[in-house]
Parts: sequence; structure tokens; C-alpha cells
Amino acid sequence: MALSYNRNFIKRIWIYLFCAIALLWAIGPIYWIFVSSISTRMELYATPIKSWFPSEPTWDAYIRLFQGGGKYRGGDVSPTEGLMWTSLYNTLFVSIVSAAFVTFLSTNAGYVFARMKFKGKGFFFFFLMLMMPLPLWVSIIALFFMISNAGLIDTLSGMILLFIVFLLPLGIWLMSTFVREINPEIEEAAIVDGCNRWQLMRWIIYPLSKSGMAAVFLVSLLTVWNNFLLPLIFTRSPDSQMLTVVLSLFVGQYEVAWEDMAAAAVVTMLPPFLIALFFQRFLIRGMTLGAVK
Amino acid sequence: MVHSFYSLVLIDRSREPRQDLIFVAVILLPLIILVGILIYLPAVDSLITSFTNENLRIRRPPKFIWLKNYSKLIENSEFWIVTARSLLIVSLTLPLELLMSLGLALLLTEVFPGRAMVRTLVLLPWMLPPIVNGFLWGWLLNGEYGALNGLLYQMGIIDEYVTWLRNPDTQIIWVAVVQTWTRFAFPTIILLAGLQSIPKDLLDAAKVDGASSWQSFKNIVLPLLMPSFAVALTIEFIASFQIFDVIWTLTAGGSAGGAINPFTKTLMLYNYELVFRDLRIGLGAALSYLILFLSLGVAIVFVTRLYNQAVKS
Amino acid sequence: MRSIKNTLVSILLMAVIPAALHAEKITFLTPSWGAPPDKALLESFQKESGITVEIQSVQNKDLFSRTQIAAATGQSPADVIFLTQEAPSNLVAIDMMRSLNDLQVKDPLENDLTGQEFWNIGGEQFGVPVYAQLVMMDYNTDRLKQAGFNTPPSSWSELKSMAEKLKSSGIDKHPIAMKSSDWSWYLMALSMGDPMFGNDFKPIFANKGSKSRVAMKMLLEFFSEELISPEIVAGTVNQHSIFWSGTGTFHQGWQGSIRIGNNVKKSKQAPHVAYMVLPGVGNTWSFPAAIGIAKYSKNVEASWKFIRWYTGKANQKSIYKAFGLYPSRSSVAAELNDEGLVDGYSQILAQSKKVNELPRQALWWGPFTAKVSEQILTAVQTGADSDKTVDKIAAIWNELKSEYE
Repeated sequence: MALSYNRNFIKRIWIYLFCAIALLWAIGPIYWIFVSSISTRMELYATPIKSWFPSEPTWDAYIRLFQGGGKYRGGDVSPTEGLMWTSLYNTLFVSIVSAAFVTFLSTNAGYVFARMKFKGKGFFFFFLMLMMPLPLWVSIIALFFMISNAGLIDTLSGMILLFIVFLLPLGIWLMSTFVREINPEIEEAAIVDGCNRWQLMRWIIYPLSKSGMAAVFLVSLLTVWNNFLLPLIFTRSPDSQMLTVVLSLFVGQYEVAWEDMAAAAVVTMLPPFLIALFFQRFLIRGMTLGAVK
Repeated sequence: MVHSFYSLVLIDRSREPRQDLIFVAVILLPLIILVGILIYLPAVDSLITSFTNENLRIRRPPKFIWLKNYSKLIENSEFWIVTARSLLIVSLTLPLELLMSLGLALLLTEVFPGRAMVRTLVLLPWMLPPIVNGFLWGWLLNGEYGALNGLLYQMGIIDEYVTWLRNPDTQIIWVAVVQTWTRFAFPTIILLAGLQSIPKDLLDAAKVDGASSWQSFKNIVLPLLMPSFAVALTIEFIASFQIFDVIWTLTAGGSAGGAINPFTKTLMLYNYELVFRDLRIGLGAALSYLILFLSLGVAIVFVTRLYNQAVKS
Repeated sequence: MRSIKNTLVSILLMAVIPAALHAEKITFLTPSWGAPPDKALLESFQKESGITVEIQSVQNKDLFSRTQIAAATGQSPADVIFLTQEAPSNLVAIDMMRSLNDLQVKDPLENDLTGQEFWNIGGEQFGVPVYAQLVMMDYNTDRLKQAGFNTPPSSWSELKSMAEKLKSSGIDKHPIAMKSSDWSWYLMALSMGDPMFGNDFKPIFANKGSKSRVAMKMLLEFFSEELISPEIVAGTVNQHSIFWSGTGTFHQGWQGSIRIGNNVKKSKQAPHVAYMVLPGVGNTWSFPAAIGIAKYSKNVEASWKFIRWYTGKANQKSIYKAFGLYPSRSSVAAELNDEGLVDGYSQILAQSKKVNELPRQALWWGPFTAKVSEQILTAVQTGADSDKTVDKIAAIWNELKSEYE
């Protein structure tokens, strides 16, 4: 009894140690971003001794961010008048909707490829996967032509459509992998009981694929969140402008408004962080425990 | 009674083949049409462009020169240098990233208080927009006022600030470090999800049988993780082979004219140069297809080998 | 009953439709420093003219990408486009800009708008000049005094020896803040007196014994002697942040850079920064900017009205006050000087008499100048010979020229 308690305790110590290292590695630079966002330019230039927390922290950068300015190079910064709020909303909307669609569609398609047998299955699978490594800007001219003819330039639905199409291959591949790992006995039992495919999906596959679906949702959401090229080319006005393009506005002709960009970055990281925190519970064990009957 | 998790389970549906077909069609057909129109049509269009000498600055109708673009690229040593450099970056980044994400995924599967928070915090690097990422590391690694220098100086490890990114060799190493830092969250998420599907009873049974944690890792966890690992490996290979953002902002950015640092030029930067800077979109399209073939080739090798290995065990 | 209703409806429509037609909307694609800084001013323009202006700002290189992709499909990304000095080779060359000649017939541009010739390519006027910016140098007067020099250098060799003295006496580890790129070479070559390009785009910089070769040699020596900070070579920051972070005595800046240089919140060099007229013959070149109409725009009249307002006195003044960008209207410049708002006016005036432009109208200028930067960076990293570097650059010029002709 005492021996196993000790072993657990030591194990805990190791876990916390490794966690600390992992956090230092992951969060260290992010901490610097946060510090930059509340420092003044001159403090950032300090050398050789750097202060790890500014002596005079200031929220100015954040205030400028949301109040809007207009002056840029010679004086103050923040050309983002009104853009931060709009692009936050746009990016959230587009990323969540795209991720939701992709998750749903990929799970269905993943099941089809994992469990069903039909002619041409291999061909269709490769058809969907083949162009994944194609660099995006190869297709961009023709894509632009098509999208503008469809009148979808500078619309949220246009962006959602594009992102869904580009995220689908990976999503399908992931979900087919995850679905394949579900215990097939459960499905067989359900079929014997007279379930049709749709009911199978709803009552068995979806609940059992929660962690896989959460992973696909997160991956899709973050990929949309960070994408730059698609919003750059396919959006124009605040109607559909997204965060990544707004962030590029802090790069002036001669200087980068680093404190403001850092503040914008902190704000940009917050929504995905909260969403990911929420989704952790789905990424947690629960797929096969007690699933039989 | 051990299920073979990798065999395609064929559920006998000889009773209702038509319903099944409808099911498959309803699900797959829209996706295939969508992908066909929005991915393949543009891809074919640029394939055709790759057979011409189209240049946006030179205003004459593009002429078909068929495979000349491809031969021009392959005959030029620049293509090979750039490819070798891309592969170098892959060889530096990929092992680092995958080991890190595997270790993290295993670590974060353990149950301990605060787990959810830690799991989310380690994902933060991936939530940072790429443009900020580049400037961030530029500031951190700066030789005049950078934070890394400050840290090492105050810890007494160095007594003078170092210009970390001065030489092309160190630039490449730092590019690998930053790329790893940027991307490791992605395979971590995938492996975390993959680890969830390993039935606990299997591991418990092994423990009862007296297996050490290393043995159960090697014989149970690793093989069952292979499919997710294969996906993560392939995607990360493509991401590091086609690296762009990190190199651009870390070593080539800051110049107004679009100059590209020739010492850290990788395939995608070369592609950018041809398509966006030189506006030789015929040649650029050809290069994109070469990149596609290279990426696909390696990806297919990875996937088939890993899948075969997994099936064997 | 129905006929009454119809009449009412048609009367209503007649009232509404003209109003709808009157409220036009144009889009203006610009980098962030081209957005009209005075909101109130913009609002009054919109009210008076009935034109709504939607401002779309992106980074400069992204502006080019967006326009080029739209161009490839025969569309315009916006109605009005801000044109920087790379625009001729990036936008006009791909036939993305509309000629303003016909609009000028009815509404000619005034004479006090300087710099119109730059935007006249092949006889067609493609842009109305917004501001003119000379490439200038500024320096820290105090540091120079510490090293025992009371006046700025009058030749490049003098500058070099001053820099060496600054370094050896420990006052400044890296006294020269210039980039390892094309501009540095152009700056030195032009100010040494070499016009670099002759008629018909001839690369006379490649002539034997030209001053450009001398300039290249000296530039590379700046790097090998570490008179320029190695951090510049690393490429993460530019010469401006290095200078303002405190390192450097001589700085390749621009017309307006001392405003930031002497801003205590942004620069460690404040308040000692002053312009210096370039050493040697002292020629420099300029970064003009203009505003033009995109080729496939459907709102030409409204766009022209906007352009005339944008380059009018009020907006030019507000642009100067916000960004320090020197107005293209000489009358506005004189007024601003009278108000005492132009820092270093005498040096600016002196420098503006010594201008030797570079041929940005050449279609291939964009790729060329990028390759020049790459050659210089390569020479710096590998210690290549300066003459061979200049030869390579000449070869690149000739190759590109033949490709485009």
C-alpha cells in the first residue's frame, strides 16, 4: 500500500516537471508578446538588461486598438479603426461555421470510407486526398475567377465555402482513421437490432467519435483562424475582412508597430483559446469505456 | 477475441444493398462535386498554364511550350539546391516535432488536476497568427535588443549579445526551431485523439499480466497509434517541406522590394518568387506541380509503409 | 383606385431613384499610410459629393498580389488604387491602370503638382502625384561631436573614416545604419555622382571604373569592417529600428525620418537627429507616390472627383501632419513651411535640388531591384568581390531587359 502510494507520488512529480518544461517552451514566447503589448517602445529597446515585466505597464495599445486612430507612420499607430471588432466577428463566424460543417461532413464521409464497401471506393478516396499537397496559390487565379463570377467575393459565405472545400480532405482522412478504431461489434449489434445507416450514425458513431470529431473541429477552426492568403484575395471590405489581414496592417512602411501588433495578437489568441478549453472535455477518454451495451 | 482494428470490417448488408448505395451517394456525391469544381478545375487550369510561357508583365498572348517550363526548372541547379534545402529543413523539423508531440500527447493523457488547462495552454503557439509569429521571433532573437539575449545575459550564460541569425547555417537551425514551435500543437491534438481510442481494458490486462509500461507502450500503444501517427507525420511533412511563413518573416522580410534571402530559399519561396514577384506564372505553375509530385511521392511512401507496418502488427 | 396607386408609386420612384443614383460608392485600395488621415475631412467630402468611399487597406506587397490576381482574370480589385514607386513595374506593367489623359482634357492638373512626369509612362498619365519623398540621410549630431567632428561629412571616404573613428573610440559599435540591400548601393552610387542608368535604359553603372563600382566596394567594406551591425544582415529588422533602438550614428532615412528620430517615445537617438545633405556630389532619388484609377473600374467620374480631392490642399496638408509625407503640391509645401511645420526644411530644400531618378518605369524594375538586393546580400555573406557583383548585376539587367523587349 505504502509502496504504490510512493510510486504514484513520484510519478506525479515527474508529470508536473515535464508539464512545467512543456509550458515554458510553449508559453515563454507568448509571455513576451503579452509583455510587449503592455510596454512602451523604449522599454522594448532596453539593452543589455531587460525587465521581465515593464516598470510602467500601460494598456494604451489595447485602447488604441479598439478606438481606432488613422495616423500611422510618422506618429501614432492603429489604422484599425473599427476593423478589430468586425474582423473578430467575421473570423469567429467563418471559422466556427466552416469547422462545424467540415466536422459533420468528414465524419459521415469517414464512416463511409471506413466501413462500407462499394465500387470505386479506393478511387474516390484518392480523388479526395490527392490534391492536398498542392500549394494553394496555384489554384488561386482560376478560383478567383470562379468565385467572382458566382458573386461570392467579399462575402462570408464565399469564405466558408472555400474553407470547407480545403479542409475536407484532411478531415475525411482523420475521421476515417478514427471511425475505423471503433469497436465493430457495437455496430454489428445495432444492425442486427434493425438500425439503418442513418440511425447508426446518429446513435452510435457520433457519440463514439467525440474525441475524433473534437480534434477535427479544433484543427479546422485553427487552420481557418490562421489562414492569410484566402482572406487576402477573397475579401475586400470590412464586410468580410478577417483578423489575419487586419494584423498585417501594423506593418508600416518603415516600422512595425510592435506593441500594437502584440496587443492585437493577444486579442486574436483569446477566442480560439477559450474554444479549445471548452473542447478539452471531448478530447478526453470516453469512447470505448462502457460503450458496449 | 482481439479485434483487428485495421482490417476493413465488412458488415454484411446483402439484405439492403440499394439503401447502402443511396447512403454512400448522398454523403459522398456532394463532396466529390465540391472538390471537383473548386479544387480540380483550378488545378487543371493551372496545369494548362504550366505548359505555357505566360508572364503577366509581358503583354502578349501566352504560347504553348509544353514541357519546356519543366525542363527549364529541372536543368537549373537552383531547383535542386532549393529542394535539398527544403529536405534539410524537413530532416531537422520533423523528428523534433513528432517526438515532442508524441511525448506531450502521452504526458497529457495522464490524469492530473489542471490537465485541461495545460492541454489548452500548450496549443497556444498554434493560435498565434503567422505574421505575428515571424515578428515575434525576430524580436526575440534580435542581436541588439532581443529578449533571448537578455535572458541569457542576465542568467550569466553569455556576456555579450549574440547575433543569432547572422549566418545562413544558424538561420536554418532557428527556422527549424521556430517551425517546430509553431506547429507542434497540430500533431499533438491528433495524437491525443488517437490515444483516446486505445481501450483501457487492453492496457489494464497487460499490466495484470506483468508488462512494464515500456513494454505495453511498445506493443500496444504504438501499433494502435500508427494510423493517427501516419496522418500527423504526412501532414507535418507537407507543412515543413512547403514551409513559407516562418522563413519569410524570419530571414527575408523587412525589405520593401520583395527580395528573397538566397541562403534560406526553399521550394515555396522559390515558387512565390516566380509567381508573385516575377509574375512568370507559367513557370511558377510548373514549379508548383513539381512540388506537388515531390510532396505526394514522399507522402504516399510514408502512408503505405506505416499502414503496412500497422496491419502487420 | 389602381391608377391612383400606380401614379403614387411612380412619383415615389421618381423621387427615390435619382437619390439612389446620386449616392455612388467607390473603393480605394491602399496601404495603410495612404488612407486619408483626417476623418472629418473625408466625411465632408463624402457629404458634398454624394460619393461614399470605402477604404481597403492592406500591406503593400499584398496590394500587388491582390491586384495581380484580379488582373489575371480581367477584373479590378478596386476603383482607385494608391500607387507607390514600385507600381509602374507591378501595376502599370500588367495593364491594370487606366489612363487619365481623357479626364485631364476636361480637368487639367495644376502646375504646382510636382512630379507628374514620373507617372507619365509612354505618353499616358497613370497617376496624380500625392507626395514626394526623397531618400535622405540623417545622423546623430551629438555622437559625431563626441568623436570630434562638428560638421557632417562632405565625401563618402570622409564618412567612412568618421565611422571608423566612432567605432574605434568606442562611442558607437556600429555607426552606420544602412541595409544590406539595393537602396544602400543606389544611395552611395548616386550621391557619388554616377547616374547609373543612361538613355534607353543603358546600364552605365557597369562601365569600367564607374563610381558605382567604387560605391559597391565601399558598401561591402562597411559590412566586412562591421561598421554596419550584423543584425542588419540577419534580415529580421531594418536599418530604421536599429537606428532608433540606439545603434548607429549615420542613418539612411527618408524625407521625414527625423520626425521619428527625434520622438522621445520612439527613438533613443532623440533629440539629436538632423538631416545631412548627402556627401559627395550628393544626388539622391525619390520615392514618389500617386493615386490612379483601375482599368476596369465602372465609377470613373466619381473616382476622378475623389482623386482631385485627395490631391487637393486640405488632404495633402492633413497627410503631412499625420505621416510627415512631403506634399507634391509646392504651394502646400511652402504654406507648411511658413507655418513652421517642416523640420529640417533648409536641408530638404538643398537636397531636393540634387535628384537623379532611377528608371522605375522599366517594366522589369521590380524583379531587377529585388535581385540586386539578393546579390548584395550574397556578397556580404560570402565576401564576394565587389566588381564581380556589379558585373553580375549588369548581366541580370541585360537579361531581364531582353526578356521584356
